Amino acid sequence: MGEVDCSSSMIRDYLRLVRIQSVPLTLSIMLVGYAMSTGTIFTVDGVYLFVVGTLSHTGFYSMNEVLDREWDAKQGEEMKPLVSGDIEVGRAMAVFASLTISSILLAGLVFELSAFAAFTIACVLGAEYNIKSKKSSLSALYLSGWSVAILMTGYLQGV
Amino acid sequence: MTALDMAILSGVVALVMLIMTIQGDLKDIESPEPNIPRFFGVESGSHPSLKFITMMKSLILAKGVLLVSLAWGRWASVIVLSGASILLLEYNMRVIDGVSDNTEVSTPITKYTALTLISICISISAHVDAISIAAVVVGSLVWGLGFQKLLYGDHTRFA
Repeated sequence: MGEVDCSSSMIRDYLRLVRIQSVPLTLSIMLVGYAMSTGTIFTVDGVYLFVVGTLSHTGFYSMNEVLDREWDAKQGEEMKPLVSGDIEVGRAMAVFASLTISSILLAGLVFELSAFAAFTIACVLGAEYNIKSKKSSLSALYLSGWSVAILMTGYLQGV
Repeated sequence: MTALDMAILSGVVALVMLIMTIQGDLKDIESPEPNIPRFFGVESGSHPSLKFITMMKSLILAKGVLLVSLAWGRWASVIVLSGASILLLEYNMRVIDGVSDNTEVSTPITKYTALTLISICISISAHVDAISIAAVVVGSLVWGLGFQKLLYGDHTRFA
C-alpha cells in the first residue's frame, strides 16, 4: 500500500510539473483552427494534432516551471514540485527536453509543411515567452503571437 | 471560411490571450514580491492605481474584441462575447471591492470561460459541425476541472 501511495504521489508531482490541467488551453485553440478548415475534428489529423498539442504544451510548461522556479519559491508556491523539492531540477529539464523534442519530431513527421512551419513559429514564441515572462514587458505579446501560431497550425493542417 | 475571416478570428484570439495575461498580472501585483515588467509597462509595487490601470487595460482589450466581432458582422459572436465582457467586468468589480482575493475567481473566467465562449462563437459563425465544437468545449472543461480536482483538491489553479 505504501509503494502504491509513493508511486501515485510521484505521478501527481510530474502531472503538476507539466501542468496537465491546462492542456486544453493549447488543444482547444489548435483543434478549433483545424475545425475551421475541415468542419470537424474527428479525423486522423485531428488525432495527430491532439497528440502533438499535448506533448508541446506539457513540454513548454515544464520549461516554464524550470525557468520560474526561483521566482515561484519567492511567492511561496509550495504546491509546485520544483519549489517543494519533490522533483529535482535535472529531472524536470529531462522531462522538458524529451517532451518538446518528441512534439517537434512528431510534428515534422505528420504535419503538412505549412502547418509545421506555423508550429515551429509557435514553439519559438512559446520558448521566448518562457525565457522573458518575468523580465520583459513584451512577454504578453509573445504569448499572444503563440496563440495565433497555434491556431494557424491547426487551420493549415486542414487546408 | 475566407482568409479575411481567418485573419479577424486570429486577431480575436490574440486579444483574448492578451486579456488573460493581463488578468494574470492582477494576481502578481498582490504577490509578496511583485516582479512583473509586463504588457504596457506594469513594473512593480502593490498600489491601488496600478491595480485599477491593469483592470482598465483588460477592459479596453475586451471592448476591442467586441468591436472586431462587430466589424466582422457576426451578430452571434457579438452577443456571446458581450457575455464574456460582462463576466470580466463582474470579476474586476469583485477585485476592486475586495470581495475576492482574485485567484479564486480569475482563472476560470479568463481562461476556460473565454475559450468556451470563443468556441461557441465559432460554432455559430463558421461551418463547423456541432459535435466537434461540443467535444472541444465539454472535453476542455472536464479535463481542466477534473485534473484540477485530482491534483490540487479544488478548482482554483487553472493557470
